[in-house]
Amino acid sequence: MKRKLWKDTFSALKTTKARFISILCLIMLGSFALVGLKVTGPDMRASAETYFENVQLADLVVLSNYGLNETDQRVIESVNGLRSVEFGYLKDVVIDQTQTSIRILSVPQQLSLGESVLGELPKTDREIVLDSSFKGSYAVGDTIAFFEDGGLSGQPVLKEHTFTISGFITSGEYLSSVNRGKTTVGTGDLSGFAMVLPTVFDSEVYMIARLSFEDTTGISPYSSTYTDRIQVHKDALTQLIKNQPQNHLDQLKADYQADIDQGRLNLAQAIATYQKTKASLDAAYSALEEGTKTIASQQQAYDQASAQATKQLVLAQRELTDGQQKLNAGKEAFETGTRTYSAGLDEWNKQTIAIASKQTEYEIKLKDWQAQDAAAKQAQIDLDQARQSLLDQQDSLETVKKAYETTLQTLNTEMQALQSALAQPGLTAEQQAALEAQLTVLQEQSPQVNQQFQDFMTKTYEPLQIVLKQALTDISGKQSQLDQGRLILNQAKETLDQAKLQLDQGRLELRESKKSLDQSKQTLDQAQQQISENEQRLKEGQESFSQQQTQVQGLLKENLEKLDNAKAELALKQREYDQARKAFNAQSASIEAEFAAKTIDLDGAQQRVDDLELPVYSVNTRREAPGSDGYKVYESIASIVDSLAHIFPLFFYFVAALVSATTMTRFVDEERTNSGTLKALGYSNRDIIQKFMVYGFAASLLGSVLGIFLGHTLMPLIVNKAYSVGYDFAPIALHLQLGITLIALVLGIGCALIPTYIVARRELREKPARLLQPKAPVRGSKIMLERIKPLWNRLSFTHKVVARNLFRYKKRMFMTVFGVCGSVALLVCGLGVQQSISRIADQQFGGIITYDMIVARTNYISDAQMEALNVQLQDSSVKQQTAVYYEPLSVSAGETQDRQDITLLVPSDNDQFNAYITLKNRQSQKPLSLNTPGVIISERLAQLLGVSPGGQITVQDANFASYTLTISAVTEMYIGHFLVMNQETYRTSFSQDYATNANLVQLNDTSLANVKSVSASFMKLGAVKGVEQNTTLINQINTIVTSLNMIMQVLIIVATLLAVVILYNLTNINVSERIRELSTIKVLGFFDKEVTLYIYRETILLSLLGIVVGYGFGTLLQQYIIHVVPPENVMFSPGVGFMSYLIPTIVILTVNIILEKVVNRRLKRVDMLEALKSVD
Amino acid sequence: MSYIEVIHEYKRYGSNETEILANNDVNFTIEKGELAIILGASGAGKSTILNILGGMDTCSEGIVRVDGHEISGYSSEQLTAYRRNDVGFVFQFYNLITSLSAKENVELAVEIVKDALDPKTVLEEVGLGQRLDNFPAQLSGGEQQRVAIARAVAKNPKILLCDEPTGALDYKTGKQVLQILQDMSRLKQSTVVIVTHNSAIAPIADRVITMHDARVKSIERNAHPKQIADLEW
Repeated sequence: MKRKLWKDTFSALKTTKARFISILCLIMLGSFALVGLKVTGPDMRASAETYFENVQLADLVVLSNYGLNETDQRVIESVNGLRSVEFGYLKDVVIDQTQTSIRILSVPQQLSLGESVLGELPKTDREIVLDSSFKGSYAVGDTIAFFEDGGLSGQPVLKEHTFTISGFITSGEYLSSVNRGKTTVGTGDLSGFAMVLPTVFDSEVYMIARLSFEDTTGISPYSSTYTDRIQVHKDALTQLIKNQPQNHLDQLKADYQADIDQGRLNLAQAIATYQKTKASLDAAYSALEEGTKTIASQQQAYDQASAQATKQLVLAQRELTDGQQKLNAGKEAFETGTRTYSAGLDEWNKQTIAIASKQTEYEIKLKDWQAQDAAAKQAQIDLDQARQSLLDQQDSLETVKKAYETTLQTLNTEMQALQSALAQPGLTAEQQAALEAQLTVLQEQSPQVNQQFQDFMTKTYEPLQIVLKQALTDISGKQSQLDQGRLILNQAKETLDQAKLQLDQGRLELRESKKSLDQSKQTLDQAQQQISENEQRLKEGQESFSQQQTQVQGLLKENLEKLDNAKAELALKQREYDQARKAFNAQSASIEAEFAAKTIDLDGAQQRVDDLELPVYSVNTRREAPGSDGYKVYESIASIVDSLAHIFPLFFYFVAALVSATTMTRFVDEERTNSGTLKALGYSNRDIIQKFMVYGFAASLLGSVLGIFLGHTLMPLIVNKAYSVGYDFAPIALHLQLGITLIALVLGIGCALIPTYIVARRELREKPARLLQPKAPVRGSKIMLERIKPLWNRLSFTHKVVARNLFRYKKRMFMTVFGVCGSVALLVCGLGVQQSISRIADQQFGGIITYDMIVARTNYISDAQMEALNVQLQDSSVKQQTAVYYEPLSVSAGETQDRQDITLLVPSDNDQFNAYITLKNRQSQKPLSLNTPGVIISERLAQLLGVSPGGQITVQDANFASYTLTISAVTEMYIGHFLVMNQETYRTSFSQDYATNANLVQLNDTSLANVKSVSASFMKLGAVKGVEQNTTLINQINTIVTSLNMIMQVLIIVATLLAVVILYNLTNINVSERIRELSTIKVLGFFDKEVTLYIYRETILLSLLGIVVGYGFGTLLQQYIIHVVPPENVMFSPGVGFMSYLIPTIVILTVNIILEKVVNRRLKRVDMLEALKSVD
Repeated sequence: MSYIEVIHEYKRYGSNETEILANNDVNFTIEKGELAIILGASGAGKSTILNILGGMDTCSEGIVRVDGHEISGYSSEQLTAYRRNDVGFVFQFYNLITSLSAKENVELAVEIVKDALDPKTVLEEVGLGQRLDNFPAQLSGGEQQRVAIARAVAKNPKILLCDEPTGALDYKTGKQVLQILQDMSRLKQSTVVIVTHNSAIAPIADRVITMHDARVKSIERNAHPKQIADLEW
């Protein structure tokens, strides 16, 4: 391109800034809407996918209300294509002292991991990580306590109930904090989740199995491949676990029975232990009594010992004192003794001399006596000899005599012996003869011997005896004379001896006295020695006494201490006993009560075991698992944006292309003379076209790039901001999407360049000369309307003018209509969808569902529990209530064949039922009667299944039993699926007797907080199995509404901007193209306003037309979106509210009015003369 | 008092140093029912006079009075109203609205005036009775100019101002157009002011005001204006 031409282009650009900017804006809006809407859904999905990938979100989750035992686990593990499977625990609890329910999960290691957003995962049993939505209310390091209800077995599953918060996490299983799912504790709605180490759980069964599959790895969970494959796995798994409920129940019953038996045993043992404790207390009591006694006696013994020891000590002391006294006396006596001894010694010396003289005298006399004595002695000896010989003769006589006597005696003895032998019988003749012979011999001997003896006596013995006696009498006379002499001698001797004796005695006395003196001396010495000894001893004694005293006192003290210790010990024991007894007494009642309660418990447990129902197993996809509402809502939001992306950008581009074409056409027209000059100067067509192309390219490229940039950033961020209220996992990741970027570029640039090229090309085909002349004015011509005379004639002139002008500038007319229509359609649709969604909660809970909660009862209720329930049902907070039969059913439906949960209600009173749920046809608003046979199903369900009254529906109960029902009517319903039938239909369809098992409750105060609190008080009751409130649904809808509101606000702004740009641009073109005409009428005397109106009337009319057409398109769009977009259990209200028509109208009219002011100002400044002068 | 009075009127363009005087102390009067021609070469200031008389422009100084109203003191609003009710314009290039038929072009002007004439009658009077529904593109220059005149006339204005009405027309059609304008003055007692550089048509006027170099050079009263048919140029 030539340099001058560049300059020309730039100057054109400068002088037509408004036009440049408007093309830029149009293209920018178009690419923003396109890119923004196209990118947001995928961005959301990609962010979610990344997140799911990071946390290894499980593909399927298997749950059982009785947990998964080993058989279950084996069955689950046996499913084909498994990549990994992980079993985990979970337990729903409430935060202590609140109704905030929390699901405590064991920290998974492989699948559905918790992603830490703050802090770290728990390392000990005392640590916990909370769901990040609690980040505001708790901090890391805080302590949190939970209250746990016993589960099926009545036993707590958690070992710990107080934890330290170690961090905060998000989980792919519980994406949305708005709706975490249902629970059986607290208010019935799960408020959050938490994770702890698996070791915190004390459970024999796992509660959840998480599975992931080989063939779904790396496949987008939003793809149909994924859905199809998962469905296959789900079906396979469902088939596998079909028999598990019965198996599990059998096993469980056996286990529980064992537990109960064990429990009974334990109770018996506990009672025994209790009794033993009681006995041991009694024993302790007697032992104490004994101890008291022992102590008393010990005390007595001690007292005695103490007294005795004291006495002994006193005695010893006295003894010592005595000893001292004695010692003193001894010393005195010693002194006296010493003096006496000295006097005695003097006396003895005198007497010794006297004795010596007397001795000499005595010795003379003695010699004399000794001679006399010797003569006497000789005479005596002679006499004695004579007497001795006589006596000897006498003795010999006697001896002979004695020998005779002996012989005689022997003979007699022998004869006697023979005689006695003969007398013996049995003797032989020979023997007798021998014996008689011997006797005869002896009898001959005896008289001879006797004669000999008689001879001896008379002749020898007696004469001799007389002679001897005479001799002896002579000797005796001689002896008497001798004895006389002897006597005299003896007397002399006696005198001598007496003298001698006196001497000896004197000497003896002296010796004695000497001896006694010596003795005294000795004694004195001894005494002296003794005294010193005694002194020594006394000293020792004193020493030993003090020692003893110390010892005794020590000993006593020791004993006393011992005694005191013993007393103290006893007292302690007594206290201990008292305490134990007290404690025992205090507890015994409660313990006994506990025993009683335990017994009741055990009985209850037995009852429960006997009443155990088949467990319910569920195989859940990510879209079905508990807490998956968030997953679904997230997807809904993404698909809402997607479906918007299908339609909205189309309008934008269409309009943008048209408007930029018009704008460029006008530009080319305005540059006509210039182009002609250039051409005349010899520039080639290519050069001249290039100028326009550069202009268009610059505007559209800039616009596209801006739009693409904003679309990639602003839109996803706005949408993210909208839904982030309920979603706290990683923020949306912005991805540059090349495909859509290129499309946006091509479309944007194409929108500006293609029309430019075509227009410029056509223009330049003309010869330069022609080009230099002004373009021939558009010819006026008859219009269609004119041919309809009656109508045409009736039109006022002004209207005719408008009509003509409209048809004269057809391109612009279409442009305006399309532009406005596009904006309006977007607005109507946006607002309509917004209203459809936001209205459903009102419609649903304002007019259709008027109960506030369903209170489901447990299967087996004691009278007391029933009584409590009735009291709560009669509570002042309850406005009214009615009993119904309630059962959750399901059916597979929808694009993804998800399980659709259906609430079956069979009223106890058909007439009253309408006060709780309004059954009516949506179109006709006519109430539906329950008195006809068949079931009434909710509209969305009918839509999903494609059924209508008269058709049939097959539903499944929790145990996979199928029932086919005939539909009698379809009722208006926006949230959730419902089946309502009368009792008769129920009996025939389900082959079961009718009994109510739930209550629909309407409250006086229906505020969210009150519903929650009342719900919580119901949940506390034993008779209540669960409470279903509407609040969760409302929350869920609100999240979608909020997200959609944001998107719609953006779209509304964009649509408004689009309207502004289009109208401004078109009006501008209109004005500049018709400036001569406007000048003319100005000259004709049209007031400024009239001039403006002259041209603006068209714009207004076209706008109105655009608005009306926009209504149509918008409504179609809205209908399309509300049919495509809603989650499967939600029906958006199809009606389009008045406001969604009014607001777009107001927006467009406001834009028009503002633009009118702008145009008015511009027209005021138009120099009519200048315009009139030139030839066009 | 004359019907139109222009007294010491000045029109200046631009600022002090580059000031251009378009009208320099212009004084003249035109009586009611007169056909006046303002004659002058290009740049003599005649169009400026016409614009000021027509309420399309205002003078810088002096008094312009029409039918006793001092339009020189009018606000733009008043001027518009003045244009609307009291003035009919005929332009050199007709300035018809191409999208409207002949009749509608007339009606466009009539629409905003209180006691306007019937467009159809007016068009018939200018000899376009058969071409009512024709669009400007379907009409010849003369016919278009006649439509333009009809449009101006139909408003029943106090004064009819024509800027080179024959400028773009051939001799014959030019005459036709002049005839109509003269008739307007003669028969309907309209005050007609024609601006032209063509002195050949001056004789048909009751009054000829000649402009030269932003000033009025001469004002001639023509007691016996020529018949159009006698006119030659």
